[in-house]
Amino acid sequence: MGAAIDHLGPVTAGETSSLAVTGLHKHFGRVRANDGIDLTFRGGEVHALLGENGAGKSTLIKCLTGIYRLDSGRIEIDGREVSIRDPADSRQCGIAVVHQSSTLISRLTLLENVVLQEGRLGRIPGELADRLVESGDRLGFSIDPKARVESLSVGDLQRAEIARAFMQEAWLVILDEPTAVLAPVERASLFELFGSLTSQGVGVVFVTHHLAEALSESNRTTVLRDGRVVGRLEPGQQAEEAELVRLIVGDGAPHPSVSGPVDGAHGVAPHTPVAHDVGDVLVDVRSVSGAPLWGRSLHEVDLKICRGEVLGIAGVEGNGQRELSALLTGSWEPDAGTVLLDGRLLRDYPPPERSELVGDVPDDHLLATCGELSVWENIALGTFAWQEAPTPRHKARQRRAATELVEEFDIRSDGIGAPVRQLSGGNRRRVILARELRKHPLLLVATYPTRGLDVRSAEQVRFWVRRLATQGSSVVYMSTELEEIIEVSDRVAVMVRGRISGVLSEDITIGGIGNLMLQER
Amino acid sequence: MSLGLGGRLRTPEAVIPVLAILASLVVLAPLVQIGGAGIAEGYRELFKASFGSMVGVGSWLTSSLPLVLVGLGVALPYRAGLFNVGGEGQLLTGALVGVYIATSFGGGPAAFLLPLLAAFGAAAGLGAVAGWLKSRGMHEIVTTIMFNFIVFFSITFLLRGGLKDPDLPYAASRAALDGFRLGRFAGDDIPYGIFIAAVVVAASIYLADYTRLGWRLGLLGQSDAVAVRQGVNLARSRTMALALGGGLAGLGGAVELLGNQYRIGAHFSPGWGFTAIAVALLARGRMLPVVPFALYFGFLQNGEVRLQAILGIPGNLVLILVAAPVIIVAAVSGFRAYRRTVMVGT
Repeated sequence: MGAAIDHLGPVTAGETSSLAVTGLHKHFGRVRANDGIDLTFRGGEVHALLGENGAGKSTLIKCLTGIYRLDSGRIEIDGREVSIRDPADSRQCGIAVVHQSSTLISRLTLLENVVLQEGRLGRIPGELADRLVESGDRLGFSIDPKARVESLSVGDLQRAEIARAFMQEAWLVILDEPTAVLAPVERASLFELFGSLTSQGVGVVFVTHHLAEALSESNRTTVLRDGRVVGRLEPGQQAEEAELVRLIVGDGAPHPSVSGPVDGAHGVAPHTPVAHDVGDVLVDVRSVSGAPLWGRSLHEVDLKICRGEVLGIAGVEGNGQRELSALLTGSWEPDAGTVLLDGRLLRDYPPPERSELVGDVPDDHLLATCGELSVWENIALGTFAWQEAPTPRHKARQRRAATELVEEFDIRSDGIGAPVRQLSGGNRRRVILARELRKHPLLLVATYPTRGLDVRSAEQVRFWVRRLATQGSSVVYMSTELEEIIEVSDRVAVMVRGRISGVLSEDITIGGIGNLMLQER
Repeated sequence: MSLGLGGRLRTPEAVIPVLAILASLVVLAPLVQIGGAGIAEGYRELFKASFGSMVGVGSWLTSSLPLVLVGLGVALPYRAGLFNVGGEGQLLTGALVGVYIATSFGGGPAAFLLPLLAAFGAAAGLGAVAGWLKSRGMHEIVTTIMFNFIVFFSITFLLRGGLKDPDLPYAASRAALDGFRLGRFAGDDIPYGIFIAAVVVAASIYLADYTRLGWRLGLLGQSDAVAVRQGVNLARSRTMALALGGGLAGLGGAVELLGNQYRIGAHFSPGWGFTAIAVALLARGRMLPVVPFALYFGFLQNGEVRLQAILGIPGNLVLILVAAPVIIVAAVSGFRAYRRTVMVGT
């Protein structure tokens, strides 16, 4: 099927509205984030953007939405050159963006957030609320302008942001990994929404790491690699996932640190029982209840995790996963119940020992990396805090260690001295993974560890996690992706509303997990 | 964008405070002229006050010593993300405890260590209370400001009663006994206090930059959330940071008392605790840069009197030189942070 994908073929403009990018360059230091991109987005079409972390997708979007200024290149709308210098310019051009994490202010209502972006002073005009409701209606969902943002689900927020964009008469809506944070049901309704947008002439651009999604939900697909367009799929053209993977990864060359198969990265992997010994109970969570100041409450959580075992935690985000990870890493003390690690209360471990034994990959990189500190300092964060004083000798050693880890974990940055805030989301996650995996923790708590990672990196992470388990450690692996959970876990527990609604140990299927997810107690 | 020196050491940001100081000197020029003196003349006198003679050098160093110590006392909590506005109160606490000990007991070999340690301990206690209150939800800026008032007025009150030297016609304590005084050398001009300051600076640098505790405090300043996740106990570490800061500021008060004024009166401090905030901000919470900035502000303070006496320029004009660089630095770094988040993304 190789002929199906037209490598760097000519671009034809047309249709209602179009945005054409030619020769877009954007460099950061020595990193060429966008290295001459030619691309056209059209109204009335769904356009999927694929690529590895650091391929240049986010940079392209930020250039189009006025967050970055391009170094060189042209942006034309309907054949007229436009200059986008800030986000307001971008909105003027009819471009709206829905970021991966909501940019709405959580204490305000939806309507107040709309007013905020419109930038008007004084009383809120009543017609604004009507227009918001109406644009929701036209897109086929109902919207409550007076609802507080903090009371809404992630899916609601996305819809609200899309409605806001639609109301402001945007003709191009760009969504950065919109499905990464959605439950399966919400995904389906997002794709329906794509349909109503395109039927009204609006163009949709969405970034995704799900190849199946890109293939089934878009009219066009563009693959970026190393800041360039390496493949396009025009309307009507067919392609197979394996082919896309090759384009995304390049040359089909396996990554140096991946010993596992590269092409296992797509589709539903069958649950293969893993041939290694599962030992005695290492982590024992006994009837834990309570809520941290910043989160929801857990109810009567009981879990046992054995040595050499990966316990998957499935469930829709926000059902207590974040709290569970804080509990298991000892950064939150519950009101009731106990956590035993290796027969001893977790809270009785002195911090130096605990930080050595427990690996922590939290869901939010802001909980694990300091943007102002460099890559190597972030890797040495816990070491300097508890194990070795940051003397010049130890610093030199940590720098050397970081240089090797950057190689092994393929962290792309402007050198180990670059501040982490300059790194892409996926690379920040690799920094965390490098730090936590290199200490060979007895217990690894991985909360959405593959979020925002491309297919190949996600595959690597699962490989590392499995390897750690075969070496006798316990892993708690949380994900919203059921296929992923099934692939990586020995047993799967399902979290619903702060409770464990059930644990599956044999015959783990999507249906079985789904049943437990729907259970209400 | 980065010069590859690690996140916190990028040169341009270290240069900004120095440029800001130069800019503030330009700002002052027209004001000196309005004040009725020539610009060149004004700066010449300012310079002469500290560098015109050995006596000048001595008095410059003497004015700078409390600023170095209190500056460290503000900078250390600043690294941990805490804003210690209580340097003034902590300095006065140190002086108060120091004068109590230095007037109550007889001296002995190295007797000065006793009031210094007691001053450190008492002011550290004051800082620790602010830290403890922080963990109960009360902001350290509010509590440390309030402690300034409490300490200041307590001293005013004590000076009307038990603390007052009955032989004096004005409200001041009795003088520290000879055995506790720090003294001067090199023709009785240079204060021995500089050695104490040097030891304390070295110890602060060691603590902040070469120990695990220092790293954890720095981590706290970068991000509470990350620090907690790494197992840092927020309440304990914050209390520690404010206690150490308070103790350092208290040392500043005791060194001034034992090395210069010997008595505590109503106007013991010309506001070192507040100037120290400027010192710590310009030093961006790092320990070693506290020294040059403290010396610079000590130089200004030392010249203030001379400007007034010889040229008749209101000495308060010099305060502009203290405030302006801080404002310029705040504005510049604010602008840079804005550009970073808005134009480059985070």
